[in-house]
Amino acid sequence: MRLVAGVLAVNAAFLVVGYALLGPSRWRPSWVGVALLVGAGSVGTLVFFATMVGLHASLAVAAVIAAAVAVGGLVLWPRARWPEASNRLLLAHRPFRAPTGAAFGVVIAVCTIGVVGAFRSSPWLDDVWGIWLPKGLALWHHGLDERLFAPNGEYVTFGVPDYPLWWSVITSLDVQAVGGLDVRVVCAQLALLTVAFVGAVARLLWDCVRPPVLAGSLLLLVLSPELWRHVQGGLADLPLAIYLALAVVAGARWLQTREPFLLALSGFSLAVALQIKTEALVEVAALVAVGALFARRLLWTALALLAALPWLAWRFAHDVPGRAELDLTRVERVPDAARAVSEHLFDPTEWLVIVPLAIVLALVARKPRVLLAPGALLAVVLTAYWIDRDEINFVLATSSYRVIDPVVLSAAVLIPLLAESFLQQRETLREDRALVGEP
Amino acid sequence: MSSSRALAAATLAVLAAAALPWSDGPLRRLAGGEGEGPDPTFDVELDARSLRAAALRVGDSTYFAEWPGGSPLEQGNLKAAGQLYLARGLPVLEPERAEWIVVARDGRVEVRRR
Repeated sequence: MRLVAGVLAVNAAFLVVGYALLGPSRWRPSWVGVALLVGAGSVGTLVFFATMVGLHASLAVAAVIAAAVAVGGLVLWPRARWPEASNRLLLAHRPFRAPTGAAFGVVIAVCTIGVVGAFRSSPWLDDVWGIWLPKGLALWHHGLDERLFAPNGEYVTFGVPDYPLWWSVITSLDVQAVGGLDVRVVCAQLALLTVAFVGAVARLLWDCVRPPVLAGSLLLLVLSPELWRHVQGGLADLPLAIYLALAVVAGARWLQTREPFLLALSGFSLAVALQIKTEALVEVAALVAVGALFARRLLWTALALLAALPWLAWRFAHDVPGRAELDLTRVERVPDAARAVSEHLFDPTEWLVIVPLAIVLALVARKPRVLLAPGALLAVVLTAYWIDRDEINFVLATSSYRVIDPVVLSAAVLIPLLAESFLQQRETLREDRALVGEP
Repeated sequence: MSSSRALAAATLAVLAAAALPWSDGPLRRLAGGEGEGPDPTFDVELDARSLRAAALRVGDSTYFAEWPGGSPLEQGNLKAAGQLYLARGLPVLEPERAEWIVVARDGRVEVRRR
């Protein structure tokens, strides 16, 4: 019970912070997914930054930061005159039929079982209990101590020292709240973030995608075996994918509504993604560049890149090297990487038909440019394999199944938008034909 | 049937299917199968209880971990397990600098003062 109570307590705190940042007009149950992701994103990021100035990633530090952010959000919101248009996302009532209700019911049930299963699962990926969580525990006991986090000749340092530490911080807070070492917190936390993501997508798309399409799209995602396998693995690639995909869906909605909140949410999600894994720096830059092709004002999300500076500065100050080398001569690695990555992207036993369906919908909806978002993320993955220094077959076997998560989830959030666009085009065509008297 | 009833019925049906003790399908796996404990699933035989006991003794001191004659996988698992269970302590590269020596033998961890 301590496991469940501890993890839920931490996430309750994230929720409070998230709702405070979302503002009073969104203090509704339907925003719970967005609130959890915003709360976990902000608290985890600020605790991580706090470790760079000498604080420990303890529950006390997290509590002070969470309280400060929550109070800041509450104080800021009444003064900020955000357009009431935001309420369009709140007020839309979308009645739906029984089959759609059943589909939403299956989504809810699968997510519930997924959370229960995660609380009962020890992460199967050894990097999780061998690197990610130990780093978080070290941040709790020692802070960001260069004896452990920067290679040196005296102390045993952690692997992949260039990786940022948001995921380590979050899971460390869970362990502290549980009151003892229990590696199941990692899977439990990841399951809650995953379910929050499903809820956030439903919330953000509720007023622009018809319920049957939304239900079907979410069903496709939550029925993907690989989603829950990654949850039970505790992979950091999944939270990275969640925040990148949240940025994509918020950005896409901003293109439709021009509501500042959505632009801010997109930029915020990119900023959090930068604290999760090293490759996020290039992935965020790629998404910002793609966004700018759709609307120049999306370049504002490039401000998120500033959030990468503290960790880069700490690494520079402590001589923590990156792992990638800019050796562009090993081009023979690209075909192997493309083959391995494609196998995972298109294998229906892993992610069902998410990626192929997104491609088909983009083509039939005559919006192929939309594919630039997952396409850019895919290009980053392939480039990383190209310039990586490790033996290609080893690195593909140990990572290609998971580094594609951002590609898959960004494709998944585009599916309902593309399907809705296609259906609207067909309806318009039918109306036009009716107007000119065609059958 | 109304949409809300359909939603509730579908939710309950799937939850019930996952709870069936004799179902050994994807839903059972999703629910965590038989369930696992609070310790990692090591790649090698490594006794978690002895690691937890070692953590109490090492505390926040320096320690050196070794697996005499261990394979690279065993050495790697011991290093990682040390960083996980002995997180309060500081692992050092040379035994001369350590206050405690953590030794793994036959999958069990023993601790002695240097």
